[in-house]
Amino acid sequence: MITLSVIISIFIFIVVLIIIFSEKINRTIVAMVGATLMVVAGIYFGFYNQEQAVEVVDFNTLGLLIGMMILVGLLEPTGFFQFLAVMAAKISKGKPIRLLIFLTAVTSIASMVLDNVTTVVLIAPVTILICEILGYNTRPFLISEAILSNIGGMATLVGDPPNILIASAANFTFVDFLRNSLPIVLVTWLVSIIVLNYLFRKELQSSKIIDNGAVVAQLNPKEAIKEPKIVFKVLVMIAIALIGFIFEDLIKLEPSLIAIGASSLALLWVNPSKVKEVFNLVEWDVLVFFSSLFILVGGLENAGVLHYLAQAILSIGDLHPVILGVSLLWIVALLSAIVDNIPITIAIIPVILELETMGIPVTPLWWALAFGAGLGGNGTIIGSTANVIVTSLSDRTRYPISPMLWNKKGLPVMFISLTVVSGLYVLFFFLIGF
Amino acid sequence: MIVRNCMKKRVFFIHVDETVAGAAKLMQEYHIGTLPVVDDNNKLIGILTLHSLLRIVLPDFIEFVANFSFINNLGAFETRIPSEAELDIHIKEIMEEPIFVQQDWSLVHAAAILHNEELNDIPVVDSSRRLVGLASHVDLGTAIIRSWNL
Repeated sequence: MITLSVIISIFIFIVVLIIIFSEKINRTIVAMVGATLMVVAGIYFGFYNQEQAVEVVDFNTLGLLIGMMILVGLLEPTGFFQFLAVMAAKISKGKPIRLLIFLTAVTSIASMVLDNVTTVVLIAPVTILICEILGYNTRPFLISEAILSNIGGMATLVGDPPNILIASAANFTFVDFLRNSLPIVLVTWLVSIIVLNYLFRKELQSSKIIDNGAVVAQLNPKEAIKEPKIVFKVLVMIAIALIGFIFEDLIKLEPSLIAIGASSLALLWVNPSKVKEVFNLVEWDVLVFFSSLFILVGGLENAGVLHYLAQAILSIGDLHPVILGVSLLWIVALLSAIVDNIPITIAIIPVILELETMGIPVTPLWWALAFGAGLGGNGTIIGSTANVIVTSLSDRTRYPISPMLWNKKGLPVMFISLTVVSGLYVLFFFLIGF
Repeated sequence: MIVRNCMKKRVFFIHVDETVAGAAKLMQEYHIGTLPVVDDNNKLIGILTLHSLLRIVLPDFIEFVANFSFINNLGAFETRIPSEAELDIHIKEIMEEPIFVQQDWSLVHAAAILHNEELNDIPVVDSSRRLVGLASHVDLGTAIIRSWNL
């Protein structure tokens, strides 16, 4: 029976989502107001209270995000990312297709370990520089970097916020992601770069104006690094954190504690003169957004909405887990193409947990959620923050990226990669097993 | 002393309907870096600097990359000249909002604006905002120094 609590909690949640997706008001502010309303409504209508609201906040996710953000904050001003991009240009000898492959490979690998938004923010400006001095159109490079950083981020537990959320809820380890997600990501990455090369075949013609080899030969990557000692120290601490993630079971520490530990030691070792500037680079608004969403979805959960939703899914009939998984993958991907994938992930996690309590094998569903959330964002200009960042940068150049252009290039990549991942998902399920 | 007493009264200016090519010719021929932009009634409506013209041939990355000491030359941009379409751009599309002083304002007042806005030259207008002159920071600065009784 549908109760008043169910109606009220759904109403608050949907209104919050609509306002967030309308992008009229900052998403963090909307989520904060919504979370407060949900708790107040919960107290008055007896379905939710303050203690429960604190309990539903996933501090493992928040801790992991803070730790990684501090490490990135220490690395960001050193010029290390510029160094990587300039190195990629030098190795490519200025040839357009090679340059595209190397630049996107650098962006994707960095996105596997660090937040992909930060990676794109730091690599995209240098990409514009390299393209301009070589006389290339910047559009293929910027669009491909955003798309492939989104795909790269899917490969690891720390690569993308939805993965952190899923790992925390499903108790997946870093190694689980390397075993299940990395191989699928590698194939998808290769397919996507081939598709992007084809879609941009006209723009990726060699420039005939200048000698590209000579232009890249004069690049001096070492000059890009401002503080080599800090780069060394932070990279050592990131490596230690990664080793910690891999041996998480052995050392019996949660990823959040490993990330916080590595970032604290990095701070101690680097001893930055401007500590406040490092902490300013932590995206506090994102952390508050996450916390507010946890509280909002906690309200839905406590009101019994997610239980109804899980029952509704079960009532469809005796669905094979693969069909359920592939359907979830596509639904999440299509939703993520038009809206933020973080609220979608946070809302679906409790439904999957509910299905688990009803005896459904949910491990394949977790992976479907991760792949869908990761790939869906590539289809449209607003699908992911990385897309928004490269687009707004491009608006200040001679080659602005319009929403229509993004759809023309992003949607084919999204649909082809989703098809490839669906195929691999089915193969993985039957041949290896999640 | 007021601005009118030290400004240049013979001013090169440009009409708003002119193109980049016209402005570039004027700047090159008379060796000037600031052109006040006026309408049909000689009213000041914008300002065009050499910087705005040069921006057409400079790369976009300079807006995003503060330190580019890792490159020795700008490759494709080293020999770039504006295209026909770029030369045909109307100056109203690239001119800036005018910052100006009134001809009866004090020198120190005008010098303070120049300093604050980091300008080299500033158009001088009458009470109807019609262009009557141009004052450079040298015109204003030397006139102020003259009052120091050295």
